[in-house]
Amino acid sequence: MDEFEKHIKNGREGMDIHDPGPGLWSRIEAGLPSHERRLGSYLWKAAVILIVAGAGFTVILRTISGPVRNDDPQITAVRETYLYYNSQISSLYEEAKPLLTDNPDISMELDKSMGELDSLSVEIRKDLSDNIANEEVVEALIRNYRLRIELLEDMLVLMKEKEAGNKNYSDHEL
Amino acid sequence: MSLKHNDLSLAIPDVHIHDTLIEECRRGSRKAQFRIYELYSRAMFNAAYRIVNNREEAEDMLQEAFTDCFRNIGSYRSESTFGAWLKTIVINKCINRLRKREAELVYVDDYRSVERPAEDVEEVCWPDTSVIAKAAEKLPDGYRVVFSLYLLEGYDHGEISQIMNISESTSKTQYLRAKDKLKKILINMRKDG
Repeated sequence: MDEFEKHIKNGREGMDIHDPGPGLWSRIEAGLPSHERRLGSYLWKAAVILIVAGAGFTVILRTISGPVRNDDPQITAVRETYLYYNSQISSLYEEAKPLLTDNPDISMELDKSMGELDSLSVEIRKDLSDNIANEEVVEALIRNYRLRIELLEDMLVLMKEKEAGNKNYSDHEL
Repeated sequence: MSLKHNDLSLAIPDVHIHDTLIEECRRGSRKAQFRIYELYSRAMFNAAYRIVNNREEAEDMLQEAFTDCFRNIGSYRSESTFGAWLKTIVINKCINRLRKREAELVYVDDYRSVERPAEDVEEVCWPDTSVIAKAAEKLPDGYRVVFSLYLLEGYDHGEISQIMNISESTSKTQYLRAKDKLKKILINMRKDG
């Protein structure tokens, strides 16, 4: 290495004389998948699940609040299933509630999806009311409860990651 | 192509200190992506500029490189530094752009044909590196790229031969010729006041 090369190596930082334009980040950002799109996929999943599960809940509630037939083991099983999953879902929802407050975009989308659910579940309720004694329908409902739980858990993880990311970012010493 | 590129010449940290940020980028955090951009964009932009020698093209290359980087960050493994990985993307994009532009890359295969500077330039007191950087922009494409990759980006001639699809001896010759040419440009600049 001659003196010229040594001189350049020693002053290496001085060789970077240009700065990228101020609008470059916006161009890059425009080409990246948005975080909201990821949330959107969860919300779409939520809508589909809740449409079916919502109808299932309606049927079960009707069954539970309907004429007393405690001797029917199928009705008892459905009631226990409802209570079990409802307790889990309520617990997850309670956990998500404060995070939803900090994520108004997610909360708004959920409200919107729930509104659509209410109108769609009317038709599904009619179909399901004839099949409440059918084991396959009950199994389908259980699968839907599990999916609801999975969905809530996924959303919780997502919101917690987002919250942790914001915290780490603000704490990060670079 | 597997490069053993040593990133020591880059004016950015050379250890895995950004692991947390990179992990957040993998999860799609826009803030983390922006922080990575802030940390690396200047060094990458200058690396790109030295190859394509044009501001708009350098920005285009940087845009493509960062977009690819964030989209494919899941494939980044900590075997190399993040800076070295990102720089490989930038450099490859710039070389491809240069090829598409059909630049007249001047290659000299025989080192004996390289002219030595007439003056004893080793005695010269060289100007500030920012002046040298400006002078390097006057080099022909082939010279400038090899000079930049070898002396400023830290690639060796074996790696440059792979990147540019030339022989190792051509890379060495290009480098020596570029260095001598740059010295001449600087001496002439001094003479011209």
